[in-house]
Amino acid sequence: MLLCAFFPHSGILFAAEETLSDQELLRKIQRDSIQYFVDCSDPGTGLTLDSTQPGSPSSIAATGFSLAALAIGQKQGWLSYQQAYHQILKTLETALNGAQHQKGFFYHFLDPKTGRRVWGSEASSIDTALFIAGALLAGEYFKGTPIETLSQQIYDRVDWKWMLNRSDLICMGWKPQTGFLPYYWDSYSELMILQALAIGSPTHPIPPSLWNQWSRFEEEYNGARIVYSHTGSLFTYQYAQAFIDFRKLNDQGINYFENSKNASLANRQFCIENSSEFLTYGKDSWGLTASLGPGGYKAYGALPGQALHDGTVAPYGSAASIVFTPEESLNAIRFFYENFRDQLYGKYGFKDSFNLGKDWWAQEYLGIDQGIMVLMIENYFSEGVWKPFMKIPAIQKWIRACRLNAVPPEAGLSSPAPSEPVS
Amino acid sequence: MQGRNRRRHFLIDKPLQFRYMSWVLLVLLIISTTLIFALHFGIWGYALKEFSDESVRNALKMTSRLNDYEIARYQPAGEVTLPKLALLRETELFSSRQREILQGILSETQKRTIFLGIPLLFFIGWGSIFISHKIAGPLYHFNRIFKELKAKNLTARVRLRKYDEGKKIAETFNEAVLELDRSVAKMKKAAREAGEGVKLPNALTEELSQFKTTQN
Repeated sequence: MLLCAFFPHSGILFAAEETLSDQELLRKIQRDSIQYFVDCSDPGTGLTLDSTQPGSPSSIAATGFSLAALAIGQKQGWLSYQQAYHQILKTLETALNGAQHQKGFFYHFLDPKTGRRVWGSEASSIDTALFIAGALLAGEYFKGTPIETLSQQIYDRVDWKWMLNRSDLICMGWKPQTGFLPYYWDSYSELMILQALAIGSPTHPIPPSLWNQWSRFEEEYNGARIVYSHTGSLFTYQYAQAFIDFRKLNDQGINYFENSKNASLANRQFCIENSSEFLTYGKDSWGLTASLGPGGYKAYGALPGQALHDGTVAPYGSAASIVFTPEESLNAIRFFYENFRDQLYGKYGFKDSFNLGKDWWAQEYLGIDQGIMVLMIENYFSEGVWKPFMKIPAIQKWIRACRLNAVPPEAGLSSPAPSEPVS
Repeated sequence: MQGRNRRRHFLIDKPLQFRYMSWVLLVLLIISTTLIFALHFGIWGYALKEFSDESVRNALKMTSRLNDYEIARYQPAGEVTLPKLALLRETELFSSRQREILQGILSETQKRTIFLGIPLLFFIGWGSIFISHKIAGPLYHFNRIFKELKAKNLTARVRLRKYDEGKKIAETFNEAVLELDRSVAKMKKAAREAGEGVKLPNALTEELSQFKTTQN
């Protein structure tokens, strides 16, 4: 049935050609996003392109998300076992034997055909961590197969201690010509996945005491105290939690799941408060996070934090917060899909971002942005990433070493509680 | 008495100076026009052609994107990245293909500059000789005539080419020498004629005899 209506906020005429349930819509987004990793990975090496921009190199972080997404796609039956297995295996073989690395740390950008370093990129600590996380997850999905063995070998090879550069913080990267970058993971952000893997490493662990070395800056916004990241970008509250289930973990009285929930609500509130100035923003149109924008790729964000914003909203931002804010995220997803489907939705799910005030629409998909949606939606429905990832011995070691498993009685435990659970 | 000798009028010979200004401007115009055409059609034409290539265009977009990634990740609080610095960072991020292209453009630029520069240098050299000759020639002639005058040859005259500078000065000078020539000639004649009845000092007669005049 064709329904036509005026969208009162922007005056845009839309047509709802089909009415999907929440579950159908989320699964559609997940399935379409997974297709990015099938189509945009090199058939010879398995390395995944950073984006659909022609000439894009492969990104080691996007490749990590690809490993996780393929495993999920196989679990959901959208990909055959053989297809997922072979693509994952090929990717891991490339990572172990062909991809250029320095002491196990992969270069941020690689030639998708050869695995050689391109664009003068750095051997990146966080991007390697995201790859390892995806590889270990795939190892859990394909337990007892060479995928599990290869994933562990790649993880074991990483010399996490070396990346400390004789300091108490993990360096962001290293370049052959100039050595270590002058930047360190020194405050709350996506660094938690990096710290967890580095502390839990069976071969080159960093001391657990370093877990306490990075700053946890707090500020109150929207009625809640939030441990915030410098940029205030939503992805910084999501990446680590796409893999690690923080709901039952307590870090010096901080529950990072609750923290990300508050940060997501703060992001939404920030958009509501600025909606009179920026046409894109609204109660169901929020998601300030690192994304493409009219002036290039920027680390957009909200308060608390730097809060760089120009009216650009990334649908993946609100969608990937679905485990923290199910109702608000679902409303946003439905709003984006139903009102801007023609401009914003394509063969790989949601395109990266849009800005109504500037009539600007991203024409691209970014691997890491598609990936985070796939993982978070899976967690929302079935905890399908959290459950296997939390079983990994390295993660258990990190939890024990940093004494994160004592939940204070006052901390409320949230559950994603999907409206339509999937069996 | 500071400033007493300061030059107050710069246009002391307007026709001469304006003429030289026209020459200089003409030479500069020719050089500039040649350079502009060479740069536009040679170097930039080549650069634009190369950068119109789709793969190069995409590579440039990626360069910009990766630079954005770096700024988004590494820019600490409060630090402003100036466009100039951003440009340098982009250069650092050029792909090997981009470096090849830029290296090609640079090599081509250098070749074209050399091919264009050699005849241009020759032209400028010849032009400067030609222009300076219009002044140096008359100066040389004046210098020669002064030597002749020193040797007491009053028959010498400054003869300049048609378009040489200083023709007016040469005319005035020649008139002055002519007057002197005539005057000395008259004195010589008077000395000769007086010598028959009046006894003149030998020194005077000897001195006058040393002057070479048109009329003896």
